[in-house]
Amino acid sequence: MIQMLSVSKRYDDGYYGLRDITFKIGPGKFVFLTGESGAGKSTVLRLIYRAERPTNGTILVDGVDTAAAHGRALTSLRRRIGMVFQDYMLLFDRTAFENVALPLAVRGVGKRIISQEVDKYLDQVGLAGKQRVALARALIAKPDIILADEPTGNLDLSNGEKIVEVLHDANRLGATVFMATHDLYLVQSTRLPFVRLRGGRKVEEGNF
Amino acid sequence: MFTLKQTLRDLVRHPIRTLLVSILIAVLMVASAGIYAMSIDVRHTIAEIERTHSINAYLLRGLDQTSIQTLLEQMQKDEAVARAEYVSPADGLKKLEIQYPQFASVFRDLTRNPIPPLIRVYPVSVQGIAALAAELRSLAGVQTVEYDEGSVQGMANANVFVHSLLLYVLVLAGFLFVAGFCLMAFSIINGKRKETAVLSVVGASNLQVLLSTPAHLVAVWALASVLFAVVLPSVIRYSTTRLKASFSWVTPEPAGVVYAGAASVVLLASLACLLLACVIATLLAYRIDEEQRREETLLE
Repeated sequence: MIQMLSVSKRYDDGYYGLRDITFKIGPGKFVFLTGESGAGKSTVLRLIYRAERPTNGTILVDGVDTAAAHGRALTSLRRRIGMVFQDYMLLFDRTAFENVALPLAVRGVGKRIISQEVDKYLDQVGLAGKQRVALARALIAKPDIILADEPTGNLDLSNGEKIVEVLHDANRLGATVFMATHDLYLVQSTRLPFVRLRGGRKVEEGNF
Repeated sequence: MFTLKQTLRDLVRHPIRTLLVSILIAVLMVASAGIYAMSIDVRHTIAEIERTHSINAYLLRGLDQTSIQTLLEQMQKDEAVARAEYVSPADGLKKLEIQYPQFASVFRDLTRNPIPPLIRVYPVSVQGIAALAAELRSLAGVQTVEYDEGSVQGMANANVFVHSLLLYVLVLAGFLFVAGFCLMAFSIINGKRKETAVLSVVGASNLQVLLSTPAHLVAVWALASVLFAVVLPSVIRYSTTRLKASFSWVTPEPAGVVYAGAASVVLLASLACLLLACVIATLLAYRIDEEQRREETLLE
């Protein structure tokens, strides 16, 4: 479960990325985070996986206060989250196999199992190119929560739908999916719950 | 284990870069070791030259053999004296005959030996030669004391100059060492900016993230050390050969001693630099993590 309670994020220059955001995502849900560019979608996701700390408020991931997580607790938190980025954040000096294997390698999983899992997930994702590698990397460690930051942003409609389908499959297997997108058509077509932001504030929450 | 595997893969993934950086570090190490070996050779040569300097303590004519023996023993006991030897007037004349054979008949025809009895004193250090000469002059039975003041002063000046020069070169080498390692740390950490961010996201522990660059540095240093150990004997052999060619009368330090000294000094110094670079790399990794977040915020 992801809970944001009166969360605000103010940067050093005084700019507010988020103001007083409160919402709750139950376990096993698929929720969209929508809004225009600059609305604060990426900030919300970064706060959840603790790339940043909120200025005010509390973020709870399965009861763990992310802002207070340090050392092993933070590692443990991040190991329960799979991240998909708009620019994919792939390491281009490594092969696709090595990129996908990374989450398992840092967990000390054996070479043989890694090899099997990487092949399995690359086949399962069924996309092409960078998005295939990025999605397989996010899913391979079977995370409880998947955070996707505009994963369809650089793709055509067909490939975007495929990505949503892959995330749906992961959701059906029990993962909570929280996907940021500015594509309202996509949100409407799936009829899934959403949280809409504007100018760093929550303006709407519900279903189409 | 993960960090070790990643580091080895990194090195293999960029073989030319790895080799070039290792060679650069090895060259710095070999150059420093060469300077060290040279300093040992120079000090050795200077010490050999200094050993040839002596003070001639001319004794009063007619001094009996017992008094001469007492004076000799007194001088030999002095801590500032390396050794002292008695040269009788007859031995002195013989040496002159050998030294100047063209005047041998002149020396033989002399009715009276003009050379006074002499004790030749070799000081422990050339620096203390003036004080020792004054001390010898004050002894009863010593008529006069002589030594080559100009040569001794020149030698002392040359000694100070050479040591200062070596010190400057060593400081420069040390600076290059530190700068080289820190630049390497900076370059590696910059190349790993994205990797640092990705590792954090995929759930790597703080240790795995922060150790990534220091591990790379240690691996490159280890590779450079192997190259250094392989090349160093040739450098020392060359230095010894040059020394023998220039000063045939000098007996160089055994190559094994120089090798052990140079290798241990350079390895210890490079380890200290490596440690410093690792600390810098770890601090930079923290900073880059922060910068990455700021950049993401700006992009948004």
